[in-house]
Amino acid sequence: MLFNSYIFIFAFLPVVFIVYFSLLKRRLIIAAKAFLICFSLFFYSWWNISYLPLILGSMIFNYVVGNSLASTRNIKISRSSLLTFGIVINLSLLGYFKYTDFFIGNFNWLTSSDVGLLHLALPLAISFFTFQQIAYLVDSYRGETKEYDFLNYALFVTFFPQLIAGPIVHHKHMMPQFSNPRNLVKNYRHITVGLFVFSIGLFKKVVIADTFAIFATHGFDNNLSLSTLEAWLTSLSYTFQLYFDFSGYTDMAIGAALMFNIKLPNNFNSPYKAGNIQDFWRRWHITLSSFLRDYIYIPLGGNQKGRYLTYFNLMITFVIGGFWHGAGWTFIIWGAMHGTALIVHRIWSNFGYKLNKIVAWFLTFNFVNIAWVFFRAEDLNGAVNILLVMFSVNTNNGFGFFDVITKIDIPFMLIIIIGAVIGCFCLQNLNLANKKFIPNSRYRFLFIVVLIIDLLYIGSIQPKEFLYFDF
Amino acid sequence: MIFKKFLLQSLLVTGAIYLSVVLLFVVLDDYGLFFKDNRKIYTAENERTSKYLFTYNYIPSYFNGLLLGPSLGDQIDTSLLNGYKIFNLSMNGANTTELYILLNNVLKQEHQIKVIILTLHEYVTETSGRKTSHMVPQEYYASFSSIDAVKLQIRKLIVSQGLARNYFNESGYMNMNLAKTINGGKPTPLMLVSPEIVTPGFEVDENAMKDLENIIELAHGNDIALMGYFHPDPYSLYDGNRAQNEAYKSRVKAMFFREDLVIDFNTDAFDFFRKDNSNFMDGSHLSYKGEDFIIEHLNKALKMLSDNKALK
Repeated sequence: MLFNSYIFIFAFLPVVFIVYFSLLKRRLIIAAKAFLICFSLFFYSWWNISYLPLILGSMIFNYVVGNSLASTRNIKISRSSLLTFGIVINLSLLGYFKYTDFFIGNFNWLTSSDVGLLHLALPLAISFFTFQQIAYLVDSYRGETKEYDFLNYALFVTFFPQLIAGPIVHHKHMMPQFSNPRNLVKNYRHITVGLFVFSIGLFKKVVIADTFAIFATHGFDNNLSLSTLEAWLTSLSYTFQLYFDFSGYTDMAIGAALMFNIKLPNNFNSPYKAGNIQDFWRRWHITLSSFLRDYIYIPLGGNQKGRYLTYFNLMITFVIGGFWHGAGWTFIIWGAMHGTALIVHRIWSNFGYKLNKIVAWFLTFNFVNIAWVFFRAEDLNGAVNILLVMFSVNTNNGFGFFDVITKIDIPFMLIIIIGAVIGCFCLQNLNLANKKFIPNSRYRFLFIVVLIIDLLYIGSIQPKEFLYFDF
Repeated sequence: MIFKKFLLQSLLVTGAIYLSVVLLFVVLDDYGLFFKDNRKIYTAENERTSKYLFTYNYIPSYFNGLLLGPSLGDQIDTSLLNGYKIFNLSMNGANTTELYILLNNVLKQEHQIKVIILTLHEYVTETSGRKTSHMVPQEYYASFSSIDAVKLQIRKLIVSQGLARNYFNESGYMNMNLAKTINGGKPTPLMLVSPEIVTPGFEVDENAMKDLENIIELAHGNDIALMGYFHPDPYSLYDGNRAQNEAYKSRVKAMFFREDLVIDFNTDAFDFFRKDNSNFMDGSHLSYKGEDFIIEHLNKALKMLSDNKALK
């Protein structure tokens, strides 16, 4: 079920909200939580019910292992072995579904053999719920978890707003909220702000991201015929599409969760305003960056083992980050590019050099934009084709980049694109704007206008899946 | 309490405005979905959406014939065909899957369709599946509750002020020659194929062939008179790939029943037409002169079809 579908907005969300708080009002707390879990699993199964046993199995397995690790009681095997076992099982599951064909393909290429691909469908959200639960196991091993109640644990894993594409939530952040009695009462401030944030996220997705998507898809699908200008427009379209798509999804998740009195962590903080690549990673997919830092970079030794090992750790962390996004060389290259950029930035900073702010921003934004070409392209050839055209003076006249739109779309699209680009670079971050939310006429006007535009747009465009559903 | 009041008021105002907008679009009924007042309705800029929505009420209520094809068929002004009130359901870039969707939707309604004309060309069977995200049931609701409906009103306003021209008439005919003139005579890639860049040979998608069969079966199953015509290709273009063209024609002809009528404009009898470049506006689409010639022949064929039916 997509957040930007009628079924979610007009049926699922209101029904779950009303029933959940009705049960809580009758002090049926366990029933309310069980109901929320069941409907979160229903939400998950909407795409394909055959994945349901997978998430249920994963959840039960990690709960048992995590509790055993956190338990003070004696267990027959060593705690480190148990942790290793838990992590291996989780990674095996992820590896089997996500990476088997990648490894078979590379094996075939290297050895000129012909082992058949499995063509497994990637279970929805597997990358997200696997990472969340690995973090839980590691923290249980470190003694940083308590023996959580199973219902709360199940809610932590399955809570529908964050289940499919994050933000990657941490048990320390979530569990106390699920058990806090104050969160069991309807809060009109949270409902209003939640709905407002949800509507802004929906706007980002259906109005802005889906507009950029038209050009990004058209350009990448025709990468052999692009002119230099069209190649730049294609890459920039994707750069903005990805940001508005994913941050829109995150806003919808944050908004929907807030209606249930659950505060999800922020995932974006105006990333395209970043002045350097390190700054970019503090602003982009913040919960993933934190996970990579806490569970890969720091355990590898972080920056504590000398300059060269720090560079090595950075590179490893980002290559893994790239590979987490997808089983393909394009994702590995994308991760390696960011790892390299972070190393270069670190060396540059160590020398004490400083760039003019605008030049620094310009370099950072363009580097990110170029790297996204690898992230989006179907294969290496597709990425190289676009980059070659972007950086060459080619005589190609183009193939009709704008043919995908009708004339009447032009004014609408111009307003959307110019507004989005200005908003991206100049407007205050939404997180800050929401903290200042006051129920005055200015906000009411904005709220109503955004809601009406959302309603008109979700009707017109067939709901398209969010980009991060593929990862 | 402040937030509760704010929330309720905001939602109520939003709901009221949105419902008013929906109601307005229902009353305007630009796709003839609700009312049966026999008005003229024109295909909008988004041809797929318009023609798909016409299949719900407008076509079943007011037309008793259909013409189905790609842009090559779109060029036939069906209002000039005699004996039947035929709607041109052809679409720019259409394949047989899409044409099947349209036909199936018309025949699902309470209809009065008596004749179907198919524009036959390898183009319609080169691909299968829906080519765009349009032509889905969701568009029914979108037509009175979406930004597309807003855009349509703006487009109508622009046309009514003489700032743009409508290429379509109320029978679904697309005036491509006019479109070309308005576009400054420049070929529009979707519409125009230049003979010198066309390489001989074409792909045949087996799923698309199956959909063509389904279209024919649907017509037969509903006891609708069926006529197909092979669109004339410029002589040099056809001759450059004669063997494959002939094989393709034989395969398609075999799908029709004996009582169906199939006209082949790519035989020697029509060489004079196909050798005359003034009959074409580009490598395959017809000029006004070419359109007139085909319409004249279709009228003769329709007369023959009616006579045959009467004889039965």
